[in-house]
Amino acid sequence: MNQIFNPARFAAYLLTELKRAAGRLGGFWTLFGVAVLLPVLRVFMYNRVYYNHPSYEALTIQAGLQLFLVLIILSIIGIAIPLRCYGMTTERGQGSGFFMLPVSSFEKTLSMILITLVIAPALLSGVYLLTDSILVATFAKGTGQLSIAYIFQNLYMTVNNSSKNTVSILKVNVFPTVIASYMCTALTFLISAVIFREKKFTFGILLHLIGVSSVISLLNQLLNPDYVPTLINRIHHEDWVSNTFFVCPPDMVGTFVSLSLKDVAAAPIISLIMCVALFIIVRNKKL
Amino acid sequence: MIEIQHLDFAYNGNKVLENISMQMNDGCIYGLLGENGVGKTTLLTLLCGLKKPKEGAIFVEGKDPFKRTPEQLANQYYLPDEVSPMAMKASAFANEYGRFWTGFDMDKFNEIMALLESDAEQRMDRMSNGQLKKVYIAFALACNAKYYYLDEPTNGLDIPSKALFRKALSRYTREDSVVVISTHQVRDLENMIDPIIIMDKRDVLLNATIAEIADKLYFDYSGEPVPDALYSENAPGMAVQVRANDEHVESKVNIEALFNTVHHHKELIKGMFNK
Amino acid sequence: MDFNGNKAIYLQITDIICDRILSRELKPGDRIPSVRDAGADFQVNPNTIVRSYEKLTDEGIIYNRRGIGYFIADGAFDTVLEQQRREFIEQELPQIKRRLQLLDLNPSDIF
Repeated sequence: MNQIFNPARFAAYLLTELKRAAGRLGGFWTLFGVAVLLPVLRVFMYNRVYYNHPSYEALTIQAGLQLFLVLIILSIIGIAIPLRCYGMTTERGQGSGFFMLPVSSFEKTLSMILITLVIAPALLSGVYLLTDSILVATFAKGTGQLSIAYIFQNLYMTVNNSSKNTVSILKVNVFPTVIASYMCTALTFLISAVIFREKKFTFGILLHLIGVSSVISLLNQLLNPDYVPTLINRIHHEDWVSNTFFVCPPDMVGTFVSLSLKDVAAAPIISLIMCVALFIIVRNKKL
Repeated sequence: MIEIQHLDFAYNGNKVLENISMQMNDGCIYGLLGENGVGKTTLLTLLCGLKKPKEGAIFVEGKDPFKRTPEQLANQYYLPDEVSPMAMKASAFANEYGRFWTGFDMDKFNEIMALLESDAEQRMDRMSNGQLKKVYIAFALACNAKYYYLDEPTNGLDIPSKALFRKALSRYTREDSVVVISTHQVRDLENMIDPIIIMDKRDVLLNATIAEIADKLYFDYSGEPVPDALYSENAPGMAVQVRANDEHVESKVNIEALFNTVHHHKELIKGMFNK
Repeated sequence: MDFNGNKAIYLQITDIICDRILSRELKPGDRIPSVRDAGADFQVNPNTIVRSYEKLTDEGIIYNRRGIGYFIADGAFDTVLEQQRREFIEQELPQIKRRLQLLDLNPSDIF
């Protein structure tokens, strides 16, 4: 067991790789740091141009746009982190250093996954949270709200479930979906970074669109045969899964659609398979 | 000990190594010589486990290097011909990465850096290629590994540094080490490499110790014409002729002349040295 | 180290050590560098040094104390002197004689 996983060695290795990844992510730290200020700047400029006076009200964005922006940002880092940190594994100089380091293939894969899926995004979010908190504390003492909290409270998707006889607008919390989508993107590009010698980005996109997404949809079809893509029309009450994970605004209880484990299982399952695939790739990589 | 048995390897369908079998013993510094493209780098990457044989097998200490277990990896070091910098000082690099090799000695690293006249406090990404190479050489030797696979280690080093490298190689490798150095700059490693392995396309033309070579071939530096010379070179100040050594008189082996002799008389040499 | 000449490297190294003994630079009891250090000094493969040291040990010029190192033997000076005299008489002298003949010189003209 010592050969495959050694806690002390893994801890040292994870730390070393973290430092290296942090260096490789260079500009992203600054980007996430100042990202909070971008909406402020936008509103300020907007009001300056159209009304010729600065105004800091209405710093909100529509819920749909928020989701869109979050997805975009997560996709960007889901692509950038793997490619920037692990793109070097295919070239002779740095790649040989990576594969020849006396650490097991399992530990190498595990550290890649932890850093790309958990630690780096968490740290980047942390930087954002930091500037966010500073901004709120300085300018909105007591009355303001962290933008990050605001986004997550409102991170749900509106679905029109109206039919001939009834009108209902549903709000679906898409937080788990967002996380799952990030995981799939990041894993796809991790695999792309290690497998393809060049054009990692292009092949990564292809792999994602043609390979991963279709497989997930397929699996979803198998798991949830009655699922109609644009309308979620099953309503469960008192579902422990939904109550644990999803935040439900009080006025929405009646029309809130909670999702069962089966509904969201497809992406995590495929992610798990991709993790195993990544391990096999790393173990058998030929430079 | 390294055992190579009937090794085959191909790149995109082109056979690079064909039915190579040999043994590499402890305590030897092997010189892997051959023209560019002949498969020297390929052999090194196969030995260290970065590639897998198509046919045949490689056993390092009885195990397959492609398995790349931490134990195996900690007992070897592969130095590629093109090295890339880390974004840190050389001393920080050694500190950070040395601990994964069980035998690594930081004091040794500093000693070797001093011997190579290299500054450990300089950032690696601000170094010239030669300076960077020296950092990796020092790091490699400081790992105290048993197996060393060095691909063109003197490439990029200035002339004084080549001499310093020779000193470091002699002083800091373990007595039981197996060092395999691939080079086409024979003069850089003239008196260091013994045994000599000369590779050709898909073939090993020679694999012998200097003593064995000196026993079978005589190197004449007198400048007077030698009858039945297998190879002769008459540059001013550097006259050497090679002939069969029937009297078994020991002479100094000139590796460049040896290389050319072997290439001009492939079958003859193979027959001479066939064990 | 620039090793020119016809002789095998390990023999050139034994020659250098013998010269140092003759010039009294190395005296009986002196320690000579370890195999690795000598290899580094001469920039040669350590195994070459091993061959040199083995030859000198066989001839009684140096001896090895396990774990401590190699040392110049007591009778080293005399042994080397004897050896080099013999070599001079058997190899170098005939060449000089031949040159004298060729140039039609008499020993009394020179000495």
